[in-house]
This record gives sequence, C-alpha cells and structure tokens, in this order.
Amino acid sequence: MDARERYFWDLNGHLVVRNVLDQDEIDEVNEALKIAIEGVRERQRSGARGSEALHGSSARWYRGDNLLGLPHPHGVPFRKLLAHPQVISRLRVMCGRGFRLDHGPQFNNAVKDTEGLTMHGAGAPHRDMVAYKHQGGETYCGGVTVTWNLTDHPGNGTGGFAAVPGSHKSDFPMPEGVRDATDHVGSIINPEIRAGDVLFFADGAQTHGTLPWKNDWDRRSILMKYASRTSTRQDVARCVAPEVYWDDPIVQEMSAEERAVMFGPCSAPGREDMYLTVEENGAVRLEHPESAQRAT
Amino acid sequence: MNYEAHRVSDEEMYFFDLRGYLVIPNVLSQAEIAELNGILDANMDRARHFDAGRLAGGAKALSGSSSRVELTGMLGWEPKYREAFRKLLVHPFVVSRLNEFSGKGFRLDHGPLMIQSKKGAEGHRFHGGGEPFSQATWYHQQNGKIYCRGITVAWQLSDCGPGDGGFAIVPGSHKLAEPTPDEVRTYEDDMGLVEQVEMKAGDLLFFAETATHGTLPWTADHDRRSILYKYASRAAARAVGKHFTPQERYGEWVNELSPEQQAVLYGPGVHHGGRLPILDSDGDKVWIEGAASAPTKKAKKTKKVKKSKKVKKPKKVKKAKKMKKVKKTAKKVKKTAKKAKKAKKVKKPARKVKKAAKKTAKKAKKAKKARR
Repeated sequence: MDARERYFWDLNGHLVVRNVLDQDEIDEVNEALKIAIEGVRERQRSGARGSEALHGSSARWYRGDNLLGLPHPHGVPFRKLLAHPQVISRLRVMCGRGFRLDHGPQFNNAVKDTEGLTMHGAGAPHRDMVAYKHQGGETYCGGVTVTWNLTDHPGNGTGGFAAVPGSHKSDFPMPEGVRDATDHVGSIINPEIRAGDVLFFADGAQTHGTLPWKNDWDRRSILMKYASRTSTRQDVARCVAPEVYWDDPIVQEMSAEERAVMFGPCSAPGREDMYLTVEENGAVRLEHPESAQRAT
Repeated sequence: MNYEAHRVSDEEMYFFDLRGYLVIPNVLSQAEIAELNGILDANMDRARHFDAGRLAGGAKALSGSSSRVELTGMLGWEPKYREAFRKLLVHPFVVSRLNEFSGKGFRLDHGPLMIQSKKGAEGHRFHGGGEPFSQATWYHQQNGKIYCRGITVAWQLSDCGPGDGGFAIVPGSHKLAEPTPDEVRTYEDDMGLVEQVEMKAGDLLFFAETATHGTLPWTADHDRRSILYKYASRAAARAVGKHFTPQERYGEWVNELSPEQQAVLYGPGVHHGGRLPILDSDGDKVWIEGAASAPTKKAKKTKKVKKSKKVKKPKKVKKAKKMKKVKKTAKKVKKTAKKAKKAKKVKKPARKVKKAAKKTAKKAKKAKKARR
C-alpha cells in the first residue's frame, strides 16, 4: 500500500483497487460461478427491514458448499482469489501479519430491483474483534472484507455497496436515519466500482450496507471475510465447542456455568450458553438457563 | 472500599481503568486457601522446574539463584483435586468483574497456571505495554465502558509484603502509546515507575495483560504461590486451542490448496509454537516468510533505504567531484588576484597625479619667488 492508499483507507474505512482482474480472469470466475448460481436462494428475512429507501425484491444469497472446496476445477478460480498478491500485500498493512480467512467466500447476487440491506457496523458501540485502530503509523483492523467485483457497479445511487466514510472511527451511535438510509444528510456514499476492481472495507467497524440494485444486469461479487490473527468474526455455526477446543479431561463433567467460559473464540451473537451472570446472593448462573438444556 | 460479589463498584472501575490492575482483598477464606494449598502440595510431583535465567532474560537486577516452579492442567485432574480449581474458574467475583472488564461471554484463553517461588528466585523481565500495539490484549475505553481483550486473574495463596518481591506493574502502562525503555523492562532504571503490589493470601488480583508487568526477585522467607487464569474477551484469542489447522477446520480437501492458500485458513491465536506460516507479498508475488521461495533480503526494500532517497556515489566519483571543486576554487582565487592587481594599477595614477600636482605647485611657488 502506498501513502495515497494508506491515507484513503485510514480516512474512509474502505478502499477500491482498480483493474486487479483482467477480462479473462473475470470470465474464469463467472464460469465457475455457474455452479454457485444454482445454489442461490432468496433470503427469507428482509434485509431492508421495512425501510422505504431500501425496499425491493428479496435479496439473493448463495447457500451451498464452500466455494473453495468445489470439485476440481470449479474451486480453482476462487482459490486464486484467496491469496492473491494484491490482497495479501494490503491485508498485511490493514490487519497485520498472520491475518486469516475468518469465513466465506460468500457470493452476493442481485438482479434488477433486488432490495438493499440496512446499514450496519460502526465505531460505536465498540466491538473489539472488528474495531479499527491507528497507532505509531500503523493500522490495525480486526475485520476486513475483500470484495471481488465481477460486474460493473456504477454506484451513484444505482445500488450495491454503500458506506459511511469515516464511520469506523465514530464514537457516537448510528442514528436510525442512517441505518435505514432515509435521513443520512448525504453521509452514505454508493461508490463506482468496475468489474475487475477489488473493494476492501473495515467490516464491522465501518458502517456499510447495500442500496437497491437498479441496473439491468446482475450484480455479482465474491466476498472473502478476513480477520486479524487474534480476532474471530465467526458466526455461531463455527464456534468451537469446549469438547473440541480442549483436551477431554479438561472439560469432562463440567457444569453448564464452567462450560460457558470454555468455548473457542467467536462473536457468537446468537449463542446463549456462553453468558454468565451473578445473582445478588453471589450465585453464578447462565443468563439463559434454558440454553443449557438446548445445548445438551 | 466495599466489595460486592455480584457487582463492580464505580470506584473499582475507576481504579482498574486508571492503573490497569485491581486487587480485591479477602476473597478466599482461610479454609479455601488451606484446601488449595493442600491439593497443590499433594501434586507437586507433577510440577515443572526450570533453570535460573529463563525469566530474568539477562536482566541483572532481576536475577536470582533459582527460577519459579510451575503446575498446569489442574482443571483436568482427578475429580477430588480438580473441583477446587473449577470453582475458581467461574467464581462470582471473577464473573462479575470480567463481565465488566472484558464483556459478557468472556472466555478462558489458557491456564490455569500455578507459579511458586522460593527465597532467592529470579524475577520476570517486564513485558507488555501499550506500544507496540497488541491487538490480542488491546485495552480500550469508550463511552464509559471498558473493553479489555486480555486479562489475567491471579489468586494469591501466600502473602506478598512490602519488599518481598513478586508481582510488579507500571501503573497506567496499559494506555501507553510510546515504547517502554529497555532499562525499565530490565529494572536497571525504572524511573521510580515500577510498583510491587502488596497482597495477602486470599486476595484476588486482576490485571490487564497489555500493562507492563513482571515480577521482582522473591526475597521473603516463605514461598510465593499464586494461581493464574488467563481470560480473553469473547472473540479474542491468544492460545490456539485444538481445531487450529486448516485440515482440522475445513476438512482434508484443503490439501489440494497451495501452501500459500492454506496459510490463511488457520484458526486464530498467537501461541501456536511456530506452526503458523505467515504470508507476505509485494503485490506481484506471494510467498511464505522464511520459505525457499521468499525473496532474498537484498531484493526487499527496507524502511531505511526508502527514507534516504539519495544514492551513495562511489568514492572515485566523489574524488573527481572534489578535484573539480578544488580547481574551480583555484580559478576563482586567480581571478580575484587578477582583479586586485588591476585595482592596484588603477590606484597608482591617482597617486602619481597627486605627486605631479605637488610638483607643479612647488614649481609655481619657485617661479613666483623668482619674479619678485
């Protein structure tokens, strides 16, 4: 990353690198995606969440096997993206040495009038696993998503990736008008990104989402979700159970409360058997005792 | 201060945020202290012993005649032994404080670890500090809330009186943005900043891992003994645990990937014992640090080279330039001398004119005298 890119990244919380893939490479990935297209399903829960500014037809997400693990040769184009030199050189600066793929790749697809997704992620409230920090001339970002764009994304209100520049450093909670994009005083931008360009954004720290897709062609992008060495952004499905994370004798016959602190690292917003509370009489119990029964 | 098991007081929040550590007195009863000490005494055959010098790291002011003794694995011991340590794992004072300091859903990252030192045992070189930044143990405070990614909870099973040695810390260092001078780390010249924390058996110590901390050589007659539990926030990891390699996390199909592609598929954590390949790239190529395919050191630009854009000219060129300068200077001197000479010549006529004028005046006077 040169000085200009560092400046742009630190200021905005996102960065577009132009012309990383040539037309042959774009075609190669699109060809491999023919299998993935069959796995695209309409999302049950609306991402627009009632917002008039974001409404449209149901979002389309890929729900199939991991694209990296598709049978040869179909997985090969995605594997090439995983450790692409233009990505590695930048992630080393953004996330630090030893960054890792946290989850993904994810295939995002939209057709004309597909709904947008409410803005999410922010500097406040602080989420330590994805937070952005600058110190001593270096940046440290817990979570960076790399988006490979396989079709043109003209932006400027026509849909696709949207973000609030600088929000990765905000100390105040996001107003509702920004979240649903109805009253954001121009703070939300919809940048132009061309096929073959790569977008980096501070996922979880920078406020971002999508605007409804208004273009006649499909939106197609591959999202790789990276994290710094000591952070996890995993969803609940990949939170490692104590019995897997530790040697057997360590966790054998542990109480539900003891077990609660023995899970592997994960952001796990939906998992309830990891949260403890202390009653006034000093007794420690699970915040959601019923979750222990569900876990067993 | 009044300490309650189920909640953290404002004063505790203030002191932990200010100093990076907090001691809660008298958490364990005498019976509990005795039980824990008894269990540990019965299992000292499992302990690991180390040679002096391992922890002092060459720091003369921290050296000693022996090193500390360590015990691990207590959570997985036989049931009659392990329950006392499992009780400490989620003790109410621990849960209530960690919910505030590290956030709900905090987890045990590694440990517990018992450390024991005899009189004369070495200290531990000071480590940690806010700079360089460590994301693993980052301490952050925002909008009245503390976010401490790495925190150690230490149960004291023996007294640490004034001057005894043991745990020591640089208060406030969890918020540093400047590097710690080496002489502070070695205790050669701590500028009066290091504080040895006095505690009694049964006290409970919390400290932010990112604070600069260590131990001073143990000088008390009795043994020092404490049990350390290393916690982390929900999504932070220092130890790697099981389920770390790409094969463990994704399945055997990852063996089809190149080593560079596999390198980004490891689990989180930094205590991996060197098992993690680290990727680097110049934008054109990707390589694993230290691998045969990695570029040689000469090809890689270092910061120093980048800073000084001026390329060093070879000696011959330098000498030639010097000679050119000398010649130029000599020419100048010659020119100046010529000018000076010319100026001198121009001055002569003026003097001559004056002389001539004097002569003429003398002649005129003589002529006048003659006419009379």
